[in-house]
Amino acid sequence: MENGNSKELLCFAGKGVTYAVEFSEVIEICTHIKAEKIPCLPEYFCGICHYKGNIISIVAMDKSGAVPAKDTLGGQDKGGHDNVVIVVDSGQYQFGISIQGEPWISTVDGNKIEDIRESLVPDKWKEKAVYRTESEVICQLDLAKSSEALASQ
Amino acid sequence: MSYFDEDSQAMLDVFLLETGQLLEKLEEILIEAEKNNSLEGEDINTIFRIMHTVKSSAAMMGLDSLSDVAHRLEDLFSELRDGSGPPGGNKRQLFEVLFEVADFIRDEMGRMRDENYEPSNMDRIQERIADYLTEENSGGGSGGEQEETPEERAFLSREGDFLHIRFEPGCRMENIRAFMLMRRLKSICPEVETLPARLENNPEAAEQIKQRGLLIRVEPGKAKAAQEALCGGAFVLSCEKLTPEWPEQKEQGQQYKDVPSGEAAEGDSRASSPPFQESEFVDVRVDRLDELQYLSGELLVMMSSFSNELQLKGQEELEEKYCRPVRQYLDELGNTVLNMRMVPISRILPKLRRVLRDICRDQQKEVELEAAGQDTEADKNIVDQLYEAAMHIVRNSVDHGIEPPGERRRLGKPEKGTVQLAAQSRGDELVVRISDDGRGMDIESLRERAREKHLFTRPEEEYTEEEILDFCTVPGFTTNDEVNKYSGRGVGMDIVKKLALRAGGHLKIESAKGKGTSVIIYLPLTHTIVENILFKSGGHLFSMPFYQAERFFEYGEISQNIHTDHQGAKVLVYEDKVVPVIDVAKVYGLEAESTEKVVLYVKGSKREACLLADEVLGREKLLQKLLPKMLGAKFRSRTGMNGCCVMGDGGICMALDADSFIQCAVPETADEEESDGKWE
Repeated sequence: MENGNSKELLCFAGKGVTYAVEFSEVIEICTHIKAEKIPCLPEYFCGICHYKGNIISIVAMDKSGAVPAKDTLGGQDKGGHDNVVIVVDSGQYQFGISIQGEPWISTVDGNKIEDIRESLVPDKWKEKAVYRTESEVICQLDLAKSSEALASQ
Repeated sequence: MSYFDEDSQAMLDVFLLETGQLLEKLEEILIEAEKNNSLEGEDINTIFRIMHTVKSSAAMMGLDSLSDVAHRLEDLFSELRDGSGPPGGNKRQLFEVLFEVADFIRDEMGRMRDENYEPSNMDRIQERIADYLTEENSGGGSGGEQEETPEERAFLSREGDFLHIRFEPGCRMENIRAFMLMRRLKSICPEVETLPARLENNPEAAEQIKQRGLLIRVEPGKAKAAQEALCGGAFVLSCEKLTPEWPEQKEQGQQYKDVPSGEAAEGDSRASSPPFQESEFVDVRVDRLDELQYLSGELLVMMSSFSNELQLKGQEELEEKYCRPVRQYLDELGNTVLNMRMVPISRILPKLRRVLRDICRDQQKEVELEAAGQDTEADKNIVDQLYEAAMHIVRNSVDHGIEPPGERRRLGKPEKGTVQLAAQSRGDELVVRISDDGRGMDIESLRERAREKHLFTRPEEEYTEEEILDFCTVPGFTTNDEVNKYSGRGVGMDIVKKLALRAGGHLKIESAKGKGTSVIIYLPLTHTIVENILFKSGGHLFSMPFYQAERFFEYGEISQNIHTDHQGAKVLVYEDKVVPVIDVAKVYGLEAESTEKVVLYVKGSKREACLLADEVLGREKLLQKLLPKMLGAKFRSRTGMNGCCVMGDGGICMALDADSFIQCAVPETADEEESDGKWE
């Protein structure tokens, strides 16, 4: 629950950094999405899937690091767990973010890092804010700007 | 050679549509009437009119035997309507006959589009009707036409308009009921008169009305208002305006003929202003709506591309001035088309009640179908598929779920079981929950059967109850050892799941042992089904509208006609045309799976080409969806993929459009446009 400067974010593991999205942008956390690879997709798209009556695209944070291997999408990771797709709504687009492992909730408060000299997100992605907690650095994604950039192939 | 001549063939679609709708209406009435064990009043009139229409339109189509069958039933209902027909003691028998006739006509209609259609021999169904009439009439005797009595003739010879009222059989106190109606009528027609007269204190009036009906005379021109006032009266079976059979003989007061209240009669309001539904609605072929929807979608996509082009060329002002309003109009057009296709869920209820009735009779069970949210609307195709799915679920509920009455009594449940269908829309989704109050599913039995069938692909203890219940949708999965005509082969829920997936939805099962089972179907509210040819190339599935795929060949069949042009590209010389040969896998940078290629000859509105594919999988009606917006407007022109199709297994294949694909694979240059495809 948001309280003053504190708010909960849905976090997931990236390469050396934790990414997060706001709960208001999350539609569903899916574990059994059957994604289809299609030809000619830019490399940061893992595929498309049929989600509640619409076809949505599934994106990965980058082609090698923070994402599940494309070959295992829709299957299981090395630990035998189903890959997880967070379906989000950026306002303009509905899409899935394929993540490794399971997401978790972190509370962030006034510990926002204002001086960000180097972007923590891969190309095409945009960050909204970066927070430091006791145990991790959380990079909150700006889904509206990121999705616009991802769409402008 | 078709049974129908050219004129009849042109009318066949309309005949099938209208007669199909009439049969649906008939069954709706019968299901309700059978439930109440009562067939009276307006229902009799409606069935009479249905049979009358079927008779006429069948005759017009040259289907004389079918017309005769409808005629027999029209006669029967005419007598029932007049209260002079079979006493109807054995209504059950009557319902049986009517259901049989409805099934028979529907089966017959199902074959009419066949090229070799020949009308079936209808002797059996004619005999069935005749047997019923003989049986019924042996008890009560046929009424037939009633001759006017001298008293009636004298009454009808007076000046004015005349109405004839019949009360429902067995309503008793006909004179008092008639008196009450006349009191009501006096405010509209102060000079109203009746035969028999003195209704309030004529001891014979009740019997007279029972036998002959009540004749009413009103002032000239007041018949319409009077009829409207009387039609809704308590226990009024029919209220018909009498018109002279030969108008010129009216002066002599002879031979008046009943005109049913719902039928056309000159001077009658119901004739001059058709019923609401006829004036406000028009039947449109679904494929025309499909086409309209497709075109509006295409326009929207084109507009979007045009808008992007303008922006890229720095023409934002033009884009803002023209594209934005056009896009808004196109959006509205798209929404209007979508709305035109929407139908209420309630339209499947009569058919479901019929399914329920049949299985309940077979299995000696009593089950009520309750509905909620039936006004929820969805695309016609979705509602049709919902019916298919719901039919299997209802059958399963009765066959597997709902216990026989004796067992239910012992369990403290009402003898009559219940199947509930509750529909609601959530955003763009239609959610339909079909529940029964039967015995529910035994999770342990499901586990056991799943073990036998080796369905567990990970440690069994990790499976949730929902996943175990989902095994019911695996083809061939059943816990029922006995196979009957409704279930036991483990195909019902398999089909339900396939239907849900094919329609772009999904389903969930909930069950509690001893309490019942619910199947929840989630479907999109709208979608478009397109007939496609499916083919495989480089390990990927592709589809193309069937009408664009002219034919296909094995590569070996036409390899001698494939040549290389001056630019090194392959072309096919076929029927005096030179068309490009395009290897689909190569265009998309995929690895071809087969060396034995199939050649698919496709034709767009602008260009033709031969596509080399690994395999043609066949023709299938698929749910077409737009590409994800996020792929960007240029993805389509860059790839020739203009959408996706949802497969029966929930998978997705890319939908190609012939023109876009050919243009993307072999871009046409101005030179080529003029070169007429010369090759060396």
